[in-house]
Amino acid sequence: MKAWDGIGLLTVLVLLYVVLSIASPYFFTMDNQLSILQNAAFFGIVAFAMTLVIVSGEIDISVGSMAALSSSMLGVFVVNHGVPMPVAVVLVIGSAALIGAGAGAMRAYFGVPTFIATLALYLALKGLAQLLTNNFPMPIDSERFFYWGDGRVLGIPVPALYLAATFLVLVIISKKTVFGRSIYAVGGNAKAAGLSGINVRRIKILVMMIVAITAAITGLLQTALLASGNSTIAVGLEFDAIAATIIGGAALSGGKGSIIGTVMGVLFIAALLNGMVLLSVNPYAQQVVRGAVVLAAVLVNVWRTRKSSLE
Amino acid sequence: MDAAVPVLECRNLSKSYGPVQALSAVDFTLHRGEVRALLGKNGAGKSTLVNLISGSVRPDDGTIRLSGQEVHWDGPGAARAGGISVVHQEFSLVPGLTVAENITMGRWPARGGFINQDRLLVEAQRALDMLGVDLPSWQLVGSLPIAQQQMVEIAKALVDDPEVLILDEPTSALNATEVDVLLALIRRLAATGVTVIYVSHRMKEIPQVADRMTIMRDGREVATLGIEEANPERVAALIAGEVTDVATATFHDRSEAPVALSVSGLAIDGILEDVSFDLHRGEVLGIAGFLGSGRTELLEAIFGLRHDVRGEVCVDGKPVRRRKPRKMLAHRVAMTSEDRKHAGIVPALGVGENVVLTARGRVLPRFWLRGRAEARLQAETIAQLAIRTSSTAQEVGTLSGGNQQKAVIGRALAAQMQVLLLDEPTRGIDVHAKTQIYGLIRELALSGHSAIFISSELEEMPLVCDRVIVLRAGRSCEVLAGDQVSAERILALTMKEVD
Repeated sequence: MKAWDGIGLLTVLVLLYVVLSIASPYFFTMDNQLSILQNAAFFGIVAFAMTLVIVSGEIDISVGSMAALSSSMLGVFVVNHGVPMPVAVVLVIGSAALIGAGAGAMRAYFGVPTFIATLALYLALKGLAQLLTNNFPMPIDSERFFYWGDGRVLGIPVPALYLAATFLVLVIISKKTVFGRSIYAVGGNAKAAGLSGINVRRIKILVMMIVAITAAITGLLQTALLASGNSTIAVGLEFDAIAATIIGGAALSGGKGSIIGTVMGVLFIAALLNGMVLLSVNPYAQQVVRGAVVLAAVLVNVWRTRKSSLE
Repeated sequence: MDAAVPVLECRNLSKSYGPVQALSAVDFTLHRGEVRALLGKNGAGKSTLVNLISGSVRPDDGTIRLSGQEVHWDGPGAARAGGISVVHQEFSLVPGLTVAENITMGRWPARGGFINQDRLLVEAQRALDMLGVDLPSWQLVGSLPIAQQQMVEIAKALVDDPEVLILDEPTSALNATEVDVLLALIRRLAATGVTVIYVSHRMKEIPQVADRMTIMRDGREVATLGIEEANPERVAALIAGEVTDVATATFHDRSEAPVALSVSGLAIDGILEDVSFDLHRGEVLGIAGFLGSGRTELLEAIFGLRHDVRGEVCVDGKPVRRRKPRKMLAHRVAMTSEDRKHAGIVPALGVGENVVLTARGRVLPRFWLRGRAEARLQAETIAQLAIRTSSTAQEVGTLSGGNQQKAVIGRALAAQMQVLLLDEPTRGIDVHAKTQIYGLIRELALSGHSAIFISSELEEMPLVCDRVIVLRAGRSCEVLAGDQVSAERILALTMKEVD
């Protein structure tokens, strides 16, 4: 991301904060800010990984269903089969990684667009989650596990810490590793990247795997928060994750975008949602606002691209 | 219409792109029912002339008269409506639409938004009849063979009843029989009064189809001859022009040097037949041949971009089987594509990033980026190639074509590649940058690199290559070495017809 783009987005974010702080005295309190961060985690973790996917020129719209399936699987493993919690967590994340890699492989080896592959998964994984749980919540009894979703370390909600950790790891991957830079090369010009000796297939499979893993982690966080395995969680997760990425300046055509931009997109959406609740905006109207924000972000992106191509 | 008034009369047409004078003061006159061949090398100004006449580019100077009336086209649409249609070399057909829909595309007869299928079919059929071909107009274009798609393309140009029809390399995708059919159709069209401008490289076709020919070079019209006055040698000399050979003294006979890359019995069905050669260390080997002679496919076959290749490729004496780009790169063989924009650069990334793409995981570490080592390699490569950029971070897409090409070659150098397969490295870059690329390739050869050099601009061959192989219809035919390498020789050989 160019410096100017980041500053523009930061300005918008600061403006939103100023407006909401004036409109609601509670908005800019420590408690509320921490709660914004906690809520941001439930889509932000996925949004960071989604940024890598979108930069590579792909997309994943199955993350919400993946989260629901992860939650349901954990419930079934722990409640029905008495699998120890750590083992169950590893199994869930491992399965998600496999499914994600599968979607990536469909793209890499058979040329199935990820939009289509993950559209199919969107339905199939959701159905599988409901099949496993019969669409009933499966209560899980584990104090230590709840701590993951609802606990605090030094007063900071644990999910916010996960958000920060994911951010750090993915920023480092995208900026400091050969793999990270290759994502930009593949998304910017896959043919040139392949001729340069970059393993384009591996990159595509890996990014799809990473986003599936973050979706599973999000599902587990929600499970901990709700204390039950649940097939109805994370509805609309894909929307918030993609929206945050787009607001953060990524181009759906690939090659452009940054995790730093996305973190601002995540904060923007989280603050906006929180502010609208504080101001008791009608929930249906909230959805209209969310949609409008994404449309505006895309328009700004298109306008910026056009401007830079004229230069 | 008065037969004495020319259908098309261009006077003093000029056009420049920045410092490049693409066309200077060209006069060009066509009479009704004439078929005029337009010949010249790449960059001779043929396409610029065609673009001016057909309205896609405006002239800086000069006039165009159509049947005596001076015209100023706003765009290709206006020229079409005014009576000038172009069939471009690249097809502009929609495979998922029918023949009739393609022919009438953009002017589908409709009422209230509904297409009038009957009228559409009638109009399409009229165009097909004009051309004199029988094609199933309801069939999807995508399901037709290439030769028939070419007919659809021409029929599409006939819908507007053009007075002048421009055909740009219409036979480049056709085989010999298909070419004969097409040439006969063009003659028939001319007999009905349509004037045809026929742009082609294929010398053999010209006498079959054209009445006269105009030869262009360096943006000027150098000769217009009746077909009976033209013999291949004279035409070749006119096309090539005076060649000012530079620096041929620096060439070396490397036939004693160890073989870096050897190719034996390379074949691709329908494209290449039994091509064999050795590339020695420190040697620049040119591959000459027209578009469609299999040049690019040969490099692709070596670099592992095709899976339909038979024959053997050895690097440093060891055969490399199941070739893939990554495997070839591991053997220090790199290729630069002729399609710089789509297969060369990653436009949105910085010059530095572009330069180290191949080096990462090879001469740079496999996982972590090592900031300092990477920055040094980027800076060194950019300096070595004298790439003009404001910083290593400047997006490579914003550089000039010449500097982009240097970045693509720099990518191979930064990764310490030993053999370079260069497909049209000088395409679309200005004269100054070309000279720099020649110098760069020669320097690399002196430092022990080997290169295969492909160019459509034959006069580049003597400037760059130690040896040249002439490729004709997928066969390696002649080898020229040292002093024998001259643009006229190569041109004469590439145009020689296979029996």
